[in-house]
Amino acid sequence: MIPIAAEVTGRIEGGWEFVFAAYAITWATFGLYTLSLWARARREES
Amino acid sequence: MMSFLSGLWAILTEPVNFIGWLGFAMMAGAIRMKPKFAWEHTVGVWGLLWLTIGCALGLGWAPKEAMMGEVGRILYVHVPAAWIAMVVFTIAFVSALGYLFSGRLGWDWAVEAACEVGVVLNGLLLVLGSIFAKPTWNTWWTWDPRLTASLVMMLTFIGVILLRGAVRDPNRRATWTGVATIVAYLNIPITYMSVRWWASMHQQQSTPATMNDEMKMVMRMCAWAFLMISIWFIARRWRLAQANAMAEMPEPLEIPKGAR
Repeated sequence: MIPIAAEVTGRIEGGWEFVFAAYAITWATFGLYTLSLWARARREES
Repeated sequence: MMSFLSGLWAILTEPVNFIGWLGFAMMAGAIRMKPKFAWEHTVGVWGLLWLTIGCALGLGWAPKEAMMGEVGRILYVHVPAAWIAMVVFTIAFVSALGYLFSGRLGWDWAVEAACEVGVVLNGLLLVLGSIFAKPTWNTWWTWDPRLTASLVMMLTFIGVILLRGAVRDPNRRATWTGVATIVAYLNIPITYMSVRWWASMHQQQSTPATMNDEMKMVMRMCAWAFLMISIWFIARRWRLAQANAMAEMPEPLEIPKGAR
């Protein structure tokens, strides 16, 4: 019988999908906001 | 006080801060030399370069966090988003004071720009926090004091932007925006201190002493990158606000013949 203390470490294993999602959303936010500024500046010029 | 100042001095003189100091030097150089492109592009490209390097190091080089493992890598974008959102709202606050004391519309355009960029960063902060919360707290959202205060922070600045859009007279709009920004800013210290004042699931602020050197370096690199990119955004948005204000101004009246 394995003692419970040996199974539960309290450490999180894996989770790369959350990491990649966070980095992708950061870049997407900056990209979309840049695009929005560019589009509004173009509209203002015309 | 002395220990705070010596700690601040130690942080500011770390070698990784050359990213920031060189970025500011490049910005000053570009403003002075007046190249064909707008000066803010220099600092924006510099920020993007360091964000690329910071993300790459955060994903592949920095060590795993002791308890959160790989998920701890989200810190390298989540924490800079929080820091720089507060810095940008502080720029809005200072600009609001600038307008209310001087009456110069340039300050008002800075308030408009900083509020919008701050809301974008604040929104990003909340989304990143939610992604971070799922594997660490097993929930996407909870009405924790820090999370709630951060949400209120974003909503109040969205309120400032909506108020601004509802007032047509430029001078009245600038005054109301300035006052509303100062009121909205009152929540910033509350948000910052919320993890100390109330029982919160969110951890308290880390100090450089609680992080190893690699983690600290990547964190600083990403924070400088966020700051540089935010300066770029604010400057571009400021120009847009200026152009909108110019377009709003009435055409000068034609002087009738023989009126001189």
